[in-house]
Amino acid sequence: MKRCVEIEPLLYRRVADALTAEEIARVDAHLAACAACREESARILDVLDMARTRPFSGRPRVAPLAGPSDMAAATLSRWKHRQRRRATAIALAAGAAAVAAAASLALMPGIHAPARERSHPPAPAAEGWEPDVDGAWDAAGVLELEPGADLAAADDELFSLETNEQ
Amino acid sequence: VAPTDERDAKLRAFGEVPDAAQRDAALARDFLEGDDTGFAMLVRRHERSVLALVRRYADDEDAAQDLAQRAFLKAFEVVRRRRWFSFRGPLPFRAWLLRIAVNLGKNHARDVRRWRRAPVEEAETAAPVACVGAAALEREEQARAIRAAVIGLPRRQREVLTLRIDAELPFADIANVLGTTENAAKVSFHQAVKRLRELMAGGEE
Repeated sequence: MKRCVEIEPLLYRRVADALTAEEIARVDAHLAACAACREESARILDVLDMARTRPFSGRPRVAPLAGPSDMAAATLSRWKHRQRRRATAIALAAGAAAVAAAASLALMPGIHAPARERSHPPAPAAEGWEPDVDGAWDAAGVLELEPGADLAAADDELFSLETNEQ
Repeated sequence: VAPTDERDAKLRAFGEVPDAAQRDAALARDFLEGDDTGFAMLVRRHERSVLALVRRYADDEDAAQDLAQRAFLKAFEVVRRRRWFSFRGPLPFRAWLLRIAVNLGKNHARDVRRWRRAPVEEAETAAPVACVGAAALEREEQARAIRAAVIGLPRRQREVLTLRIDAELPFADIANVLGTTENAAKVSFHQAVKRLRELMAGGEE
């Protein structure tokens, strides 16, 4: 049987509640007279019926919890469990961050050195001891000139070191 | 402006908030203030719709219950994260929840397929079938194919169709949930049904 092309879109719009009262009357009048469109209309409704989910035959294996709503109680219990886990994870992360911060502070020489000085006060100077100034300069390496280096620049560097020491 | 903010603004633009939405918003506020009753009541108010939505993607009632609970947990997580924005309007709890349920179900079905290398509908095939005639068996086969096709529909069509036939929402509510217009929801529904009907007609040939 041949369906009517001008009516078919209306059949779909009807299941989508998208027809005006006038269109509904028009479709109803047409269906009363047209077997092919009646059949198509029934098939569209049948598709919708078949698309619906079917209830599961078996009961849930999980034992129901006490309370007026199993779903509410079970979900709340899961929520609280998650919150506890989350709080623990945050506490662990905070602890790990604190340990990492403490470790990095301990390893930073600029911060570590004064602490060592405080814990180990310098020994009194031995009699006749003199500071090894030349050795200190050598260790600093500031006076070692690269081949072809500018002497004036080296002097400026030395001057700035002296200034900083004052 | 983020797309979610746009959608939220659109939801508020619908004007008067229905009583049910106001009640949800009040319960969500109670929950944010640490009241477990607000949590439980929100679950009770919406569990039927959520279960109806996720059953489509579940192998059995246990899986459906688990999916429904996960949908609620995600929705409450969203409520908690968005609490600072609640001053801009009521928390559209149901819209968030149902949108989460539809897409969580879809993701679950996808993951199950990935692990089992078999469609979710296989579980239905494995279910014992009572002694029925050939016509009934054929119809049941057709129904399985159509339900499988529903899962494979384009996202918006699937969302609209399942919110309509599983959760049995009016189109105005579907539009609210999806942050679209009622007319657009009807168009998507129309397209989805047409696609399924074409599939059925193809099977009949």
